[in-house]
Amino acid sequence: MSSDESIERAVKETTAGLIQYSPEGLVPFGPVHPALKEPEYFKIILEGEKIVQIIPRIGYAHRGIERAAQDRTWIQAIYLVERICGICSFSHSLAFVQTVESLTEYEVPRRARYIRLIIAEMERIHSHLLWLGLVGYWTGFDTLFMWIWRDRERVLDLIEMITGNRVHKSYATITGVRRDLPENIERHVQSAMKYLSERVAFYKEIVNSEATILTRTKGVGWISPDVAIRLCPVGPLLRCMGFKRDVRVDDPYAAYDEIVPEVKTSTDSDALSLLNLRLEEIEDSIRMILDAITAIPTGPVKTTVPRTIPKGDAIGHVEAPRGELFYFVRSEGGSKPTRVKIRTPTLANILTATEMLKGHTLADVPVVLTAMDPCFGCMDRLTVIDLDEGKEWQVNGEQLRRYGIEWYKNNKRE
Amino acid sequence: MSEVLISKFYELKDVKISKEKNRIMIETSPDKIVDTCRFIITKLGIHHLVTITGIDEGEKICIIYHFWGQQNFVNLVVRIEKTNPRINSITRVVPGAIFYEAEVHDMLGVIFEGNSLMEGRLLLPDTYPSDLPPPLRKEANPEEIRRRMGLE
Amino acid sequence: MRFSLKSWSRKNSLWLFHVNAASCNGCDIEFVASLTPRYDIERLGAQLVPSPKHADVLVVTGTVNPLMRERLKRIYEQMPEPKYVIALGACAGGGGVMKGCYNVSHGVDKVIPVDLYVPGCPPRPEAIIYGLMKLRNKIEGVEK
Repeated sequence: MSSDESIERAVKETTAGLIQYSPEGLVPFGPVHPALKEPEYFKIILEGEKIVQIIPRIGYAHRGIERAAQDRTWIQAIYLVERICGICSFSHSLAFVQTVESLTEYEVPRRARYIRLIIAEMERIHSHLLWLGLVGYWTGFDTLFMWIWRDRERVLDLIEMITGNRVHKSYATITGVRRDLPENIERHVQSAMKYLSERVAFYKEIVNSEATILTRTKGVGWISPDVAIRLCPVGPLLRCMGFKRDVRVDDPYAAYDEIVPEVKTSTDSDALSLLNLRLEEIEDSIRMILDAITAIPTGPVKTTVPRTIPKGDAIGHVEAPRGELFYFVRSEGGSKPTRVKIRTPTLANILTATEMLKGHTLADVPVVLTAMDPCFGCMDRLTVIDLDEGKEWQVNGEQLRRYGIEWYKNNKRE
Repeated sequence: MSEVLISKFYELKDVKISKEKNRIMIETSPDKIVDTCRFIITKLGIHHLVTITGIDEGEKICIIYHFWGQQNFVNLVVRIEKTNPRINSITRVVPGAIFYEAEVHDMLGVIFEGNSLMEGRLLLPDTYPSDLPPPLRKEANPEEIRRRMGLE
Repeated sequence: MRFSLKSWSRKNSLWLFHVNAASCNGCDIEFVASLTPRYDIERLGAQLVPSPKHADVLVVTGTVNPLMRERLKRIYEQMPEPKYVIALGACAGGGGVMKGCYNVSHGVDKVIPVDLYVPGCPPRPEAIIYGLMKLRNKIEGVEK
């Protein structure tokens, strides 16, 4: 369809959808609407068994970091922004550091760029494995969850050997990384990657043959790509609809111009294709880490770290495990940033994920919301509003998980 | 590639264009914002809106719309008066902008006319005192906000 | 010290309810990792429960922002006695790196009383296990 048509359709279906249905007709909503007096995370509006609309409320994790970054020096700000998210903390610090570097004249040494690539890909592996274990958890497949998280510990061991910490690594600094790779890290990396590639092949087999996972993910969560593109999603959610977009290839940073990722796409755009897509990304990351560790050049790992940054505006983006992470930094020549603007990939994907759930049942909510890979806290509290019965009740993530497992034991989706 | 793109921008009137590396900056006036966005999306085929940034510059509020496409960033800059912070919403052209505009509304108090989320709050708690300035304005003081919200 | 059946049975079956009060999720993933095979706190009798009404211990992570304060108080009130609260991580202990931000409390103990602080940003699973052992001793009355 033409771009005008797809815009029309997206506007009608989505922004019009942010209007609440009520017996009197369409009523524009806001978080101050009388029925929505309490701030909840997600409000799910049902008609019978089908979901009609999901309205997200996202202030639960707002801490005021953009304002706090204005009171920190440039180096202190790195420690602040990496604690925005514990799962992709290196991506945040890398994006910030790269944006600030583009305001200065300093060049990042080649060895540092390779090390940044290695740590970023290890973080991608750890994040995707974490997510995969959670999918097992939400569908009632606890064994898969335990196995995957045990294998994930191998990657965390490697990260700890190189950077000193498992989660908040504080490893990137302006113009490089803080310390060099330890001696003999190659053989640890190679043995861990060999182990992981066998396990990932095994999980690929399980995901595509186990009935528990297939019934809950095949065909679940579909959206027309022409409509979805108007909602500006990013990351694996965008790639599972057939769009070949990846910041590492479109706008290479670190060492991605020398070690090029293979961008995988799929055309099914359901939850099962997201599972396979992420498993394939893990395999690609393993290949890139092995290539990088053999081809890494010698040299310094950082140049000087300046105290003041020249005046200017800068923008930068990286491909975090969940999608495109964007930073905007304005400096006025001082030792503290004037404005830091951060756009996380989950914010860009919320609209698309809520659209994917229309027409499904309550039991599919955990799987589809997890498919867009949100942060933990998102799933903690939901309110369900049943239009037919006129009732409203609250569930938390754990209760929804058990409801979903029970529902699929007794029913089939048509 | 960017030269081809920039040459197409000369079709628009009343814009200032500048470029460095792969970042193209377009400056325009607030009443032209919807038409310029429609031009970028339909004529140039750049349809990914990354985000919308708001900056308090003292007397004016600077709003930057970041687009990414064709291997280039296109930053659309407008400036509005702080005493009357209103601008048209672009959700009729880019539905995905609805949350980004709501965020700028929450943090800087800008009203996007046509966006259905302008009545409530997206990120700030509902107990945020309505007589205090929004948190990213220069006159906002975090200590005072903490005191008024009862956080020791 | 005399053996008490009550404290022995309480300390060997601690049921945990986890609340994420505006955290970066670092402490949460280390907490969930401590349930997985390498660290395995389930061998100490601890397990996760879906509702505060079944829980003995409330594990709180994160900076408690205004949206979460009321909810946290209500969850605490729903728990039956005897109940204990663990503040996991630097943010829950006293604000952590977010100190001074306009939307955070400086610690969980400004909202509900806390029995155990586990420092770290985030604390390692070994630190969480050590903290649980200290809580067990406290329940038994060996430590304050």
